[in-house]
Amino acid sequence: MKGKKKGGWTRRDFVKTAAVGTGVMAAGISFPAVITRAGTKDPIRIGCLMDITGALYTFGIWGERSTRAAVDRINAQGGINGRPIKLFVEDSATNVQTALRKLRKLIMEDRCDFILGPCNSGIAISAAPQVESMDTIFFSWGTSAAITGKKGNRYIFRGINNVRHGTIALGKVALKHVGKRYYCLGADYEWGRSLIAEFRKVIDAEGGEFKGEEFSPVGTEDFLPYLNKINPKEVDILVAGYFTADLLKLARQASEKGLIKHMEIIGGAMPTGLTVEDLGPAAEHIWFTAYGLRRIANIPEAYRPFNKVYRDAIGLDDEGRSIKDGKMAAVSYSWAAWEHVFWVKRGIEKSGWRSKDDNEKFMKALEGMSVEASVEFPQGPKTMRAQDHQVFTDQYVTKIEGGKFVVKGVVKAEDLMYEPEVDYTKQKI
Amino acid sequence: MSLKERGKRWILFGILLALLIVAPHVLDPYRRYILTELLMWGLFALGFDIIFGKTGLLNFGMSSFFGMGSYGFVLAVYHLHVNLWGGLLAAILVSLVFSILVGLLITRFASHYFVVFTIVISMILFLLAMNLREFTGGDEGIIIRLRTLPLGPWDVSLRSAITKYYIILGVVGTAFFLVLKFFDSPLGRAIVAVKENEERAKMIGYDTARLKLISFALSGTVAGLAGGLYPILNNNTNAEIFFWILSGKAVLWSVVGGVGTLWGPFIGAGILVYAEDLLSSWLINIYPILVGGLLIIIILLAPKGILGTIQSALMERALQKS
Amino acid sequence: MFDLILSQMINGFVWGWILALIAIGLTLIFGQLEIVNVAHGALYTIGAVGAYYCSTYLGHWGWAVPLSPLFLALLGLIIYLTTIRFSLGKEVIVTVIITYGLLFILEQGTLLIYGGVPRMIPNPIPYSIPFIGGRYPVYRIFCAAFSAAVIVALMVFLKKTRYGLWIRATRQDYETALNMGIPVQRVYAFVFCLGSALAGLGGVLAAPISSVTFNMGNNIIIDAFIVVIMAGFGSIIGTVVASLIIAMIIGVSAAFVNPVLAKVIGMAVMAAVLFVRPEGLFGEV
Repeated sequence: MKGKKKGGWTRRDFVKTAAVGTGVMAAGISFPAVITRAGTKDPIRIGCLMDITGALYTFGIWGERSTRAAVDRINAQGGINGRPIKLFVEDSATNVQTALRKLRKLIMEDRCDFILGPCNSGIAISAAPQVESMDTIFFSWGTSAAITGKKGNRYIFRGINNVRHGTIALGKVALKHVGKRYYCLGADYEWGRSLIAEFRKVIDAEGGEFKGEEFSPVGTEDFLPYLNKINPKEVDILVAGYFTADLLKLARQASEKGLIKHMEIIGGAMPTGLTVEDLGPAAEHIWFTAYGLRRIANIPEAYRPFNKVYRDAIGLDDEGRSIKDGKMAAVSYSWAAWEHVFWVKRGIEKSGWRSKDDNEKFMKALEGMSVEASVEFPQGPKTMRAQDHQVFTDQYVTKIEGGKFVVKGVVKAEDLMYEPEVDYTKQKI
Repeated sequence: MSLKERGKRWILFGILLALLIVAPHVLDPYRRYILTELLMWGLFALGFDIIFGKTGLLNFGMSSFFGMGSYGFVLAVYHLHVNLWGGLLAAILVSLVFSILVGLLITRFASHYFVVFTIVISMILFLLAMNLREFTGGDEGIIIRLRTLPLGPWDVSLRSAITKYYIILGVVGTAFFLVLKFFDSPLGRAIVAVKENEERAKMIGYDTARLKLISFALSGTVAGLAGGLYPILNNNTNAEIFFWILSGKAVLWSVVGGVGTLWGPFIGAGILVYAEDLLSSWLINIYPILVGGLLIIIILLAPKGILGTIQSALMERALQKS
Repeated sequence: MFDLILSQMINGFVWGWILALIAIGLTLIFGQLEIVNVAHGALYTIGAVGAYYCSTYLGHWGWAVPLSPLFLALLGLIIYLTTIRFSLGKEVIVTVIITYGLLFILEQGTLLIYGGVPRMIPNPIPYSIPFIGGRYPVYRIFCAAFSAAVIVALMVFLKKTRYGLWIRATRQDYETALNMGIPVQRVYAFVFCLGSALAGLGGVLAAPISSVTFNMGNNIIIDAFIVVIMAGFGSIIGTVVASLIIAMIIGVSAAFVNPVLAKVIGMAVMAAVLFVRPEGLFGEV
């Protein structure tokens, strides 16, 4: 058979080349690029990129619902400056590479004018240089500090507090009640590391005594090897840089190991998607910092009616559960996705933005803008700091007592101030 | 090969090349980007086809090489401030050294152990990359900004996506051409002989261990070169690249396209990347199931892949006529 | 420091038994069918998911102990009849690709049915005993003991029963077994189901310890592979020994370096063993 090989390449080669070539041309020609100038009544194209599947799935689902509900509301009321919003939704699968690919699709193929990004710090940081080079404004509700720091740029806006605010609040409220000797455990990725780093600054400033730190890879099943290294006689506080499932595992294994008797856990985030029962016996020993509150009962009375409108729009009850299936939602965060849509609306209205040519005007409009508590901003009043595009709003510290979340302290925006790391206003567009 | 055959071959290459050169000007930016990515992924899958399709060793950890190449590029640019060519050179060197070392370690093992070794190595690299944050930047990675590219006496700006396309086309095209030539050469044919029947190859006098190592190193370097292209396209790289999912894709694309054909990886990558993009919005939930099913069907019913099956059919027809 | 090392070693020993259960399924399937089952981790996951459903809807985790493995055996049978059966005797790539394709299908299926949210199951034995300056959960000790019992039962089954004999015979010499009238096809199917069931059982045991996620198998499969290579594909006792050794080495290393590097050390140990004995500690040449 081998010996009988004739021309070797001819016919096969032709088929190959023809196939590949035709494929390329067909792909190109069948979808020609059509670029039109945005007319005054053309829709404003907004891209919604969320972690709809993957580890951060709870945030993604509720983020997407919140975004959609906000867009529907705005469209029902006539759109922005008379222009309806066209929403494009993509799933990042909680994966940076996938997210970047979808980002390109939203911007290059769907020609989105604005991108509302996920509650994912790794993605936000990787996306920052991309959106800059593609001249598209990006909103993130990931909470790692670097997003509105050295790793960000003028195209990035964040409508939620970050871990720095969270840890400052914990420092002011929780540290009074617990000892000073601390050990840190965190999830080994951007957010976990950022949280622990910020927390250490805060604790050390209050005279904390550092006893060690370790980072566990995402998806760690067994925390015992980490917990074994903690000497309960020498440690008062366990700082846990985990969210949801990992926090749960850690809490449970810590209590199985008998650590809970000797120390308190300071969690970097609300246990999104989990109920008090889920947390088990460790529950009442954990201090949480909350960017938003899950129980309407805990929300300041003045904001409650606005918060209720938001919850009704996405189908949540007063305890933060989904009305449809009773599952715990990510309501302590997802309000940010709702509010981001309205930040876009405010920016467009104030600057008269018509197309991406007006991006700089939009940025200037948002820089320094203050908003009041309202249906559009149901979490409370906040100010978008000009230099780093970081919002400042009240931060809560909560704990579980008697089987329910209670607020142990509120730290006002003014008391959460820190020096901006950067000054984006100086960045030329 | 007769002069006429050779001439035909060159003409066909020329047509393909012409199409690829014209493509970026005809395509919209998004499709242009996808095509650029396809070239890179195709090269990556080619790396797999070399070690598996041509040598018979099933390497399930190709992401290791891709990652090493990509980090070689990024770290060289970031710390040593080399330009794009320096970066690519670094990518090649790093992956070459890495693949030689790993190859020395594992090519002597029997097929089943070999596979598992490649899987384990790749996972360990992933864990290390995620863990050694200060060095690799972890999941967030390292960002680089390459503004211009020295090309002879000129400095070409790298801002344009079209420029990037041509650079990648150039690199991929050259590498592919060299690989094709390699497997036409005596050394290449010796390697294929090892795959067909290792015992016989040994009896003929081939040093099969050395041949396998050479192929392994070539495979790793090609994949690493592809990895070096990634930061050109995306201005960054991150530790997630080492995750085994990428390795699986190389296998997937090659198997679907046609194992051993060297063109197959590009075809497989082309079809599947495009399909995934097309289906992404509405079929995303069952897409992996479809892919899994496709893999099973192909390996059982059409193990030569698309191109391989076409080639066989054509050969059958040619033989029948003769 | 000694306390730390000791407690890590014991924890490693306990995990080692659970790991052994999973790895044995892998090595049985390989020894018998020459299949590198890349989807083994997904089977483990499905076992754990089964534990979640039993715990939530049937009231207690205990139901999962018989039910999950049964379900997995059935699933294994379906998989065997529809795909694996056609790949026997072909080269490695065929079975690797098939099981790889299965991995996609099983994992995505689990994601669609069970969802992406990790969930916890209440600890079936929520007690801890005093242990070296702290406490140690009794449940983990139970897991180790239970795994050991199952493995012993398995070995008895293979040595003493007729089916066990058939399995060993088919493994030793396919041709002769066929000629002796042993229903080889059925034996193969049985082994695949058995291996799947064992993976599922491992998942059931592991579920209450940490949490149940749709892709939890991806982590453990690496450890299982390391163990199986080090032991030598096909040897049950070897797999147990290797599991215990590796788990303890990783455990103790984790006392000194961070647990990720400890895993790297585990792999280095495996590599070292293989250089001295390429067929594995107990493998047959």
